[in-house]
Amino acid sequence: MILECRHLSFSRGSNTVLSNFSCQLERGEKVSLLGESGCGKTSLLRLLAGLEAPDSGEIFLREQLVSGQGKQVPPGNRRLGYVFQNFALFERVSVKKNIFYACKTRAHYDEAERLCGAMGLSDHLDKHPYQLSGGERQKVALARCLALKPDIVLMDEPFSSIDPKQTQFLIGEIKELFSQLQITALMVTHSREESELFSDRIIYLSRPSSSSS
Amino acid sequence: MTGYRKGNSRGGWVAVFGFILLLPLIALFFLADEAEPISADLFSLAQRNTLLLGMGVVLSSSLLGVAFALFHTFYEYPYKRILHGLLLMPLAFPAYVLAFIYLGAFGPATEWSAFFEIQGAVWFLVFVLSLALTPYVYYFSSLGLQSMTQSERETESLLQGGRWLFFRYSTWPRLLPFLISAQILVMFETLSDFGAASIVNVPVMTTMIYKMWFDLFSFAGAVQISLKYSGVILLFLVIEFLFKTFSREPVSSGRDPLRPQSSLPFSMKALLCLLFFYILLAFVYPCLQILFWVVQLQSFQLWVKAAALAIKTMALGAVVGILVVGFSVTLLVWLRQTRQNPRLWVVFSTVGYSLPGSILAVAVYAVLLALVSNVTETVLLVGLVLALSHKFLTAAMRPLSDAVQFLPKELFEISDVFQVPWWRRIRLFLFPYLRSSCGVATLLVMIEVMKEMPLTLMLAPGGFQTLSIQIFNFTSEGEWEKASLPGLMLVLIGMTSVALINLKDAEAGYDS
Repeated sequence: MILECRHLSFSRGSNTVLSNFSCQLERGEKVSLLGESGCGKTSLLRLLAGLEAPDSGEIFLREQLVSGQGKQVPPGNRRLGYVFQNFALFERVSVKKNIFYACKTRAHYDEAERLCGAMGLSDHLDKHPYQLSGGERQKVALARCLALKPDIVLMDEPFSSIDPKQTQFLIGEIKELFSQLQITALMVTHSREESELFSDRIIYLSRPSSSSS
Repeated sequence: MTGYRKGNSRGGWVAVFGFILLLPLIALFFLADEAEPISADLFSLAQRNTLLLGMGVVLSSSLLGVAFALFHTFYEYPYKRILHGLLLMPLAFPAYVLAFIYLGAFGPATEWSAFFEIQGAVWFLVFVLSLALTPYVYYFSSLGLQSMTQSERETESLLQGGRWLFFRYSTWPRLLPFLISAQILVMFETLSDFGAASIVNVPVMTTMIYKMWFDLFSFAGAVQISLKYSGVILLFLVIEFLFKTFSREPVSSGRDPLRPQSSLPFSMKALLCLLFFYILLAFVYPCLQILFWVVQLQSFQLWVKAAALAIKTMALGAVVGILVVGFSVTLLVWLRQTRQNPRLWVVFSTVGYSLPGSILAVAVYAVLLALVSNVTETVLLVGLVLALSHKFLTAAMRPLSDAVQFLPKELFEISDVFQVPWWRRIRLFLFPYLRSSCGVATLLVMIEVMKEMPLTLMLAPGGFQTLSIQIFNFTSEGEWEKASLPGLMLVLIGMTSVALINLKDAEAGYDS
């Protein structure tokens, strides 16, 4: 098992976002998180990435405790890839600088270059992100996180700003890439169609009954 | 901007407008032939001091302003809203008021004289102007950093690209355009400074112009220096224009604004102390000192005289304000109605503001000399009002051009269809839409006019006094206490404009 959540609870102020949530992901598995707005999908991704700390419960990555029992491993030490909904690209520097942003070793640079070729970004390296289409921007964000060779990738509504036709094509490409690299992926989405196309398994999340907003 | 005609069919009018605004400089150019030689030593000293002043103030205000802006953007600290407001408060102090407060308290005639002599008057002036102008850099830089996003920062913590790289990729590109704009503004303000330099008695180019005209009675010499100095100012104007043309707007943060970090590391605690110290030096101490002097005055006569002067200064401000706002609204509405882009007109309107008041005074006097054979006091007063209108045209044009852009073009079209007369158009939709913007613009122009020193000093007819002229007269005699009363009035007036900025920020939800 590569990722496991046990009895996770999380709240913002008086608003309960997640209550007693548990799940497990196997290595190489592609899972979608589906649910209505405000049910805690993005919060769950942020908890897994270490960007937030749970109120109670535990998170295990590669069978190591990373959150809970008074422990909180920083995001940078969890070896996770994360694709934000808005892609969080550095708009004022080139695509190349964006992709190579976190590269530290020769292996990282080699992987980044290989990914640029594989994802069809080689012709766009000297451009700025704002000169790219939604799909290309998404590829840049993905290449940036994959350059560090993470074995788990978390994606927060990665196709929300891309048109449906392109989304279908991109899902196919990403799915193939993830299978090649044996990457475990957890994707948050609103769309049943996207989740069915992308994932091996779908987790439905509903608003916690104890919600008191 | 959309909805404008592609080709500007009325380009000739822009040229005429530009020509009228540049007319004073053209008059200088023609008069320069008659100029007489000026002392090379005095001229090079003034050049050296101006250069030192410009570089020193830009550097120090940039360091302080950027540090405070970064701190404000990235960290949550106690009393953040109040401190943000207080950081802008030094803008309420005209630099010359700050100068005489510090000179009176720490200058050559006090027990601090040794320190003053060691540091030298130029560095004293750098210190005073940096205190006065740092809020500009802070404000502009904070605006630039507003577009920072939380997800970018979280990307940094996830990918560990390094803080320096994150600064280079994310923070610096956002900061730089705003920082350069602020630096250009600070440079213009420093190069234009006359009041503070004359109070501290540092020969700079602007005080040289005054000295030539009023101490050495050589108007031709003043023309010559003005012409040379305006070349430098125009160079900066061109740099500013090119910069604004080629710089890009920041990408909006949308729904993902940066969430400031609440735990302060040691270095940030030190910066918080520096911020407190700056507020103490630039606002709290000057307020206390000026109040102390005012309380010490105990002369009813001086109070009555200052109040009368304040009303007179306000009247001058109101006349210029109404004139400038009336002209700007008429022009901008006409441009909107005829679907012309106002950008070039707005750019031209900044010429007067960029020119130091002393140059403008000489230039407008040169125009008056060319137009009328006998420059009477009435002609001089008209000249003063026109010169002040020229200088502060931009203070009205910028906010009003934004407001006029929001006028629905359908209202103009339907008025054309039904042939609504112009006075009904004003009453039916122009007045309701533009009322508050016109009020704010008039107030801003009025405040600027009241604080202005060199132009008023050099063009005012004999016996015509304003608060700033009275400050100049009192401080020339070293009468700091007497100067404190008009000084306090100007500070209170200045606080109105700072309150407007704070109000605008609060409406935009920026400082929260």
